[in-house]
Amino acid sequence: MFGKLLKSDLKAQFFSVAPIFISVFVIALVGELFVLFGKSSIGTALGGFVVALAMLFACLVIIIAVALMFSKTVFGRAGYLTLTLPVKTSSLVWSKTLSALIWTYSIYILFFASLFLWIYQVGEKMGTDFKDMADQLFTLLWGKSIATMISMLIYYLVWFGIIMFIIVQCMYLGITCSNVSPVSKFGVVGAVAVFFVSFAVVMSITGAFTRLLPFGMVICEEVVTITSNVNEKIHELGDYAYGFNFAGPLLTLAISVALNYPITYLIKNKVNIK
Amino acid sequence: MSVITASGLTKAYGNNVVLNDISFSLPEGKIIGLFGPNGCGKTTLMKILSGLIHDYSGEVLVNGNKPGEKTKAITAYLPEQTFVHDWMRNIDAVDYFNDFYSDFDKNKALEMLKRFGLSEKQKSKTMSKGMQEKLLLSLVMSREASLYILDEPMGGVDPATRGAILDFIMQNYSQKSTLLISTHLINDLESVFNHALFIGKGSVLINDSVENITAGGKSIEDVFKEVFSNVW
Repeated sequence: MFGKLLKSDLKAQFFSVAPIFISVFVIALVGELFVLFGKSSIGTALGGFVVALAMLFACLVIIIAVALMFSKTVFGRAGYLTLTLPVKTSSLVWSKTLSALIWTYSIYILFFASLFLWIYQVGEKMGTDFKDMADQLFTLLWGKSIATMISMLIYYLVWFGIIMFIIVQCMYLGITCSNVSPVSKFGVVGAVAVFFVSFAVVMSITGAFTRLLPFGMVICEEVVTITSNVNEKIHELGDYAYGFNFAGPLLTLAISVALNYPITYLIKNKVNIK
Repeated sequence: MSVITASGLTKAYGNNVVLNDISFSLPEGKIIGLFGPNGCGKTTLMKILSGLIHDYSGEVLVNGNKPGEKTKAITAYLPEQTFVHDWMRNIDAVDYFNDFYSDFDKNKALEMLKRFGLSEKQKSKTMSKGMQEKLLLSLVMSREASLYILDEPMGGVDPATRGAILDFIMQNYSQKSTLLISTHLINDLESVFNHALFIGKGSVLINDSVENITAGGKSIEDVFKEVFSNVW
């Protein structure tokens, strides 16, 4: 039954996120044209910058789109359809969370893929090897080499997934609370307030936890080292090392999973469909 | 045997108590009319039975279970308003019901759509209110549910079509099932009811068989006018 729920939610959300995907595609295409036909390198760089900004905007819009979709399909008119299904409320929430994650994650992947494509094409145009070009750019932007950045990519992909997970869960919590008395009196403001407060609380807790348990991995060029103290290891290895803490992401993941319970509880016991 | 039992059921919206400590039970296998003036709590009661309202006090049982996953599997609810997703075409809505309800008969639903002159490919948001009601009715009545809860099933339909819809409901509901129908169109439906529940001012005013209610030669509509002219 969960598979059917997920299929239906992916389909429902597709109609809401499709315009964003189309916009992203068009923006990427415009960026391509800038790179291919731009006469000056400044114009090409500016084009790429505008494309990156537009894509970041699309990434934010998609978050709002999935939030509205959740609100519509659970608490709006379609709630009559959703909440009368003979399925567990927790399954309903999980299915909506997972489909939101799939859509938001896809657009972020698209964003990074187009960024790499842009770097590659600019490099080609300027007669610079892609590796050298990326190396120069990453060293310029973050002070790290391409080898370090590639090793970091997997970590970032996982970390992005976890961040998206907690954002979606906090959003769902905010929307759900805004349909339960007494937060319902404040409407959208209540939903936004609950979202920011819950997100800030989670981030503070995980921040403190990270300082308390600094275990993680340090990447220096292609070498990955697991360590009990990330900061000490970075200090030891020097400027080209980059560290990642495990405690924070793991706790964020655990809290994201746990947030399903208050959302389910409120929908199951406190929400009235208007 | 009772299909629905409520004891000490109270539901308020802020200070407005809609259902005030009401208790009743409704018999199985009957067509039950739920009557009352506007705002008396008919829709609220139906939503509670369908598991859409949760913050009430007292106890409600459908087939011996609290409204939830089990009761939703045996209850077919037709709300007053349309509820399919905007993106859905009629065929998508049929597939959706087919996916989630084991008692749903897809062929019957497609046949009903045809009978109502609704295209499978038409999107719900492009249809009129009357057409959407026909779609929802086709979906709900294609289930072999134990309990059908129909909230104003003919509210948005023109008088010429009402008779056809009534015939449609009568032909398509499972004979062993219970039908709970709320309506203001008492005249149109009077002949089909065999039990009636009158609620008003938060209380149950009448809960009896139609035979007993109309024993004095009055129609249900006469009784309705008599009861509610005193209450409101």
